Amino acid sequence: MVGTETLSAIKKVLVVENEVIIADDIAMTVASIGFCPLEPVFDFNSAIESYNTHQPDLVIIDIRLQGKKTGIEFAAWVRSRFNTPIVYITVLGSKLIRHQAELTQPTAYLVKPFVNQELVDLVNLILG
Amino acid sequence: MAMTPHYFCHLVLRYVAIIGVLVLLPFKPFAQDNLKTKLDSLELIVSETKSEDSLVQLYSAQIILAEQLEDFRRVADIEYKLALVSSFDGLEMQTHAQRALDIYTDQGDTANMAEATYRVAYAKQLQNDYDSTKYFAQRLLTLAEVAHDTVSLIKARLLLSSVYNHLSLFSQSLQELNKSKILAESTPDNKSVIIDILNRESFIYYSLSEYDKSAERINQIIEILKPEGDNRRLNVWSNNLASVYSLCNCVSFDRRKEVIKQSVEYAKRANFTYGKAFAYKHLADTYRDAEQYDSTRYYLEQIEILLPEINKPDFTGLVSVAQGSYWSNVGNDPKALPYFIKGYNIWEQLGKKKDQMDIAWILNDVYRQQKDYTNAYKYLNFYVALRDSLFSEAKIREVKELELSYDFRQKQITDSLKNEEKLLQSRYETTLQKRSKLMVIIVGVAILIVAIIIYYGFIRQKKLAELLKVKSDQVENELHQKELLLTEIHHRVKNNFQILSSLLELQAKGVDDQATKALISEGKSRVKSMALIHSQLYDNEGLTIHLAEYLQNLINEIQKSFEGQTSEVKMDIDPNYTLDIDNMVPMGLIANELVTNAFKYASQPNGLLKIQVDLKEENGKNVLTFKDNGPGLPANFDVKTAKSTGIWLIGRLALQLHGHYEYEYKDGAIFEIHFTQSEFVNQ
Repeated sequence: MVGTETLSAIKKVLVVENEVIIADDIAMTVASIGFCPLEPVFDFNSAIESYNTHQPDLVIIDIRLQGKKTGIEFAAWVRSRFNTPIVYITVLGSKLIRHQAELTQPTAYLVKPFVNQELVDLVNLILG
Repeated sequence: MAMTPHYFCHLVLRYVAIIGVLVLLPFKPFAQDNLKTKLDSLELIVSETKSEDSLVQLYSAQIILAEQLEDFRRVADIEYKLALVSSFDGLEMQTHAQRALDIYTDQGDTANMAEATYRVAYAKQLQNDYDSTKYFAQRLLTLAEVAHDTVSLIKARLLLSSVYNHLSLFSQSLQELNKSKILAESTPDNKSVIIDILNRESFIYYSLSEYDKSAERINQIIEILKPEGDNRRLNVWSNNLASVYSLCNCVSFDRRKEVIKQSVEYAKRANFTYGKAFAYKHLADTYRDAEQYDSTRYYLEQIEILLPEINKPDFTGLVSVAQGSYWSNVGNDPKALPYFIKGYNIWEQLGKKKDQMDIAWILNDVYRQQKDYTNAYKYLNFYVALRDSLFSEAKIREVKELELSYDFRQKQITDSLKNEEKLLQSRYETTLQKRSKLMVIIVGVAILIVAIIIYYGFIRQKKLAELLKVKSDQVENELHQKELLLTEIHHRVKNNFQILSSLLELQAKGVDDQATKALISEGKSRVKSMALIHSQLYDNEGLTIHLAEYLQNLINEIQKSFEGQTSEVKMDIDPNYTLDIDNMVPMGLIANELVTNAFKYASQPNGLLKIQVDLKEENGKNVLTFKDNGPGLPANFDVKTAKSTGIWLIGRLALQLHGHYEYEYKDGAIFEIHFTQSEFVNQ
């Protein structure tokens, strides 16, 4: 992740994922196709801080986060201010959660477990 | 009773006569002339004597004299006279008349025989010996027929009529009277006889309740009396006629009034106050029957004015009863009562038990209606006492009926008296009890309401309980389903971990490169560490994992994959310390890396691996320390560049645990994991 902030021309991707291994995996995959993943964050507050600092071009959010607030709440926060594309990483949750997620107008869903190619195609489609 | 001069005179004469007889008796043998003189002198005394008692003594003395003179005809005459004065006693009359008859029969004196026979028959009648009366009357009839003695014939028939009347043979009685009347019509100076016959006929018809015929006879009597101008008798008979009219209901009120007013006129002419009062009484009755009560009252008041002059207790009694009836009739019982009581007292004084009894009954009735049960009971008792003394055995049946009525009435009155007493008593009690009764009712109602509420509550509770049972059954059923599902998922998760491990193992099989084999083994170990968490989670039935238990299991598992390596593990962790599942996964992976490294690098050939794990708290953070007796990290090891190594992984995972790791070497490698348990997110 070193020196990513300086490459302003390269599109930045924020990964909000409470499992550091999954977050790192996504970040490395994103980096491998030429985009700039920001340092992954595990909770709502860190996510907002990171967003305000870096103004990412894509937000990949796990619905389930550490702490009381969910990924949907962070997405809603984003959506209320920006048009930044949102991709949800999720297990197939309840209808209520899907409904809440739908209100934030996400661009796509990545359903766990996903393979890296799916992620690559999706990110290329959005940012390409 | 004061002795009147008249009475005194009789007394003197009687004693003179008796003394005279007694003085003269011893001289019997001397001369019959003397006896005859004495007898005649006694006759003289007799003619002066009116007292019956004296006459009997005088006649007795005469008979003795006449017998001494053997003048039987005279004996018979005197005996006959004795019979006449013995009218008060039928037995004595019979004795004398019989003796006279015997003598006359001996002498064949038919005319006197008839007289004596009549007297005997009459005596028999007085004794109520009707068979004998009939016998002698029939003998008289024969004698009279033989002698063509119409007067005796009539007398005989009247006797027979009387006998039949007494025997309740009314048609025969009337027949005899009719024959008598025919006979009487052919005789001169017959008015008194015919009146007598009409009187008897009137009476019989009256008894037979044939009032119209009775009235007709009385009218005939009045017609006979009218030319005589005997106003007193006319008044009496007019009153009698009014009496019959009041019963027969066969003439108009006007006719009745006319008769009575005529009667009043007769009474006035005769200066006969009593008769006038009686007529007024009938007028009052007539107006009463005509329901003209004001007039009734007027005439009753008129009578009241006359009462002192009349001074006849029986009439006063009659008027009192009439007054009582009047007031009772107009519904004024309190005013009626004194009159009835007055009447009752008069009948009592006069010994008129029948009337007394009737009034007692009325008084009982009136008092009962006044609810004065004490007095009602008193008069009822009087009534019964009077009735008992009046009724003969012949009327036992009637008495029985009355007794029933009496018993009923007595019971009624007794009950009423009791009721009245009870009423008075209970009135007091009632007022006391009313409140408590009301309280009882209120309490009762309250209890009822509470009972109903409880009952409905109970019913609701029951329904609710049933509903809850159904719900809880449903929940239990669902829970059971979930448990089954959970068990299935656990099984699948564990199975998937095993499949993952097996896939890695299969991949390793076709590879000869040792480095690749090592990587796959590493991967398997990491999968195993996670599967262990899952397994412990399943056994625990919660979302937390006991750290000490987990680490012990993990070390045991890793030990298995390093065969031949002896190890000594020391652990200082509170066995109750738990981590939630979110933190346990990174912590498990960290522990897996450190323990695996220890087995890989710290173990010496034939040496003992010593691992020590401690958990302590430091500045609000938990610190888990892993120490081994190995050589530690190589001197040139750079964590920042060694991205895919286990140490780098430990760093990333420690970050996820909001912490970091520290490494130092001091008689072996010492790794300190500083961490904070993040809040469990239930999403």
